[in-house]
Amino acid sequence: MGKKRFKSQRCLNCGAEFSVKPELASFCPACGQENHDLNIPLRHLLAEAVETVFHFDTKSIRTLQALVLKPGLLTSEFIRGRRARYVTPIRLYIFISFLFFLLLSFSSGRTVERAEVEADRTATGGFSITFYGINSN
Amino acid sequence: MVFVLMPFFGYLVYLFHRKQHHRFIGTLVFSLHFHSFAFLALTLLLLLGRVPFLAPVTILAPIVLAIYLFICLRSVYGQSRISTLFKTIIIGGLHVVSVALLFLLTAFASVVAF
Repeated sequence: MGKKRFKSQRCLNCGAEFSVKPELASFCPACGQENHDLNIPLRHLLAEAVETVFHFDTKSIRTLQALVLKPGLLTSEFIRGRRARYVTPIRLYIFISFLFFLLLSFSSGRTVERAEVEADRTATGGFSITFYGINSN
Repeated sequence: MVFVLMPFFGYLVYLFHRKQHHRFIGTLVFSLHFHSFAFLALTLLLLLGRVPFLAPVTILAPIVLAIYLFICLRSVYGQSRISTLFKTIIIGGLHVVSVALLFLLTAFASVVAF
């Protein structure tokens, strides 16, 4: 988890003194600014940007694993309040459905609308197949 | 239609669990997670279905989703197998019907508009 941060004992934004050790103060309790000095060499910032991507990656891999291998765990965790370790539900939903419609419209040259019709048809087990011809033109 | 009716599915789950003092926000998140899995599974199945000899694999979609819904309901709300099975069938069935109805409605609307 260890993100490398350049921390100080005093908030750089509002000047509030932290009551805990700098290593434990990730955010200022008074104004909310992250306890992280950005006035550092650019290569450190670039390294940090790469790290952010990988940090997100472990989070999304953990979320995907739970989604596929442990049905219901993500919802239980959300209800219990353990949210920060997983991808936000709405972001997960929008990202996956975006991927789905994108892949589907690419894979067969269909429009997104046709792709959605096909998705409905598959998801409902052909229930709507009887209405299929109505708006085909 | 599946995309649009996602919150409605959450409301259906809420209707069947509000007596156990579960909030709508929880069932809405339940719906988000369920549909995330649904779209993921559909992506994989439809891509697999493009392989000529694997085409019938898409028939599995409703079965996979029904089983997943059952396990989710049981894991999150922890009710008996019989009760969960009953709720899976009712919630899943109502959702399929609502998707089909909305589909029919939009198809009808587009014919009228044409």
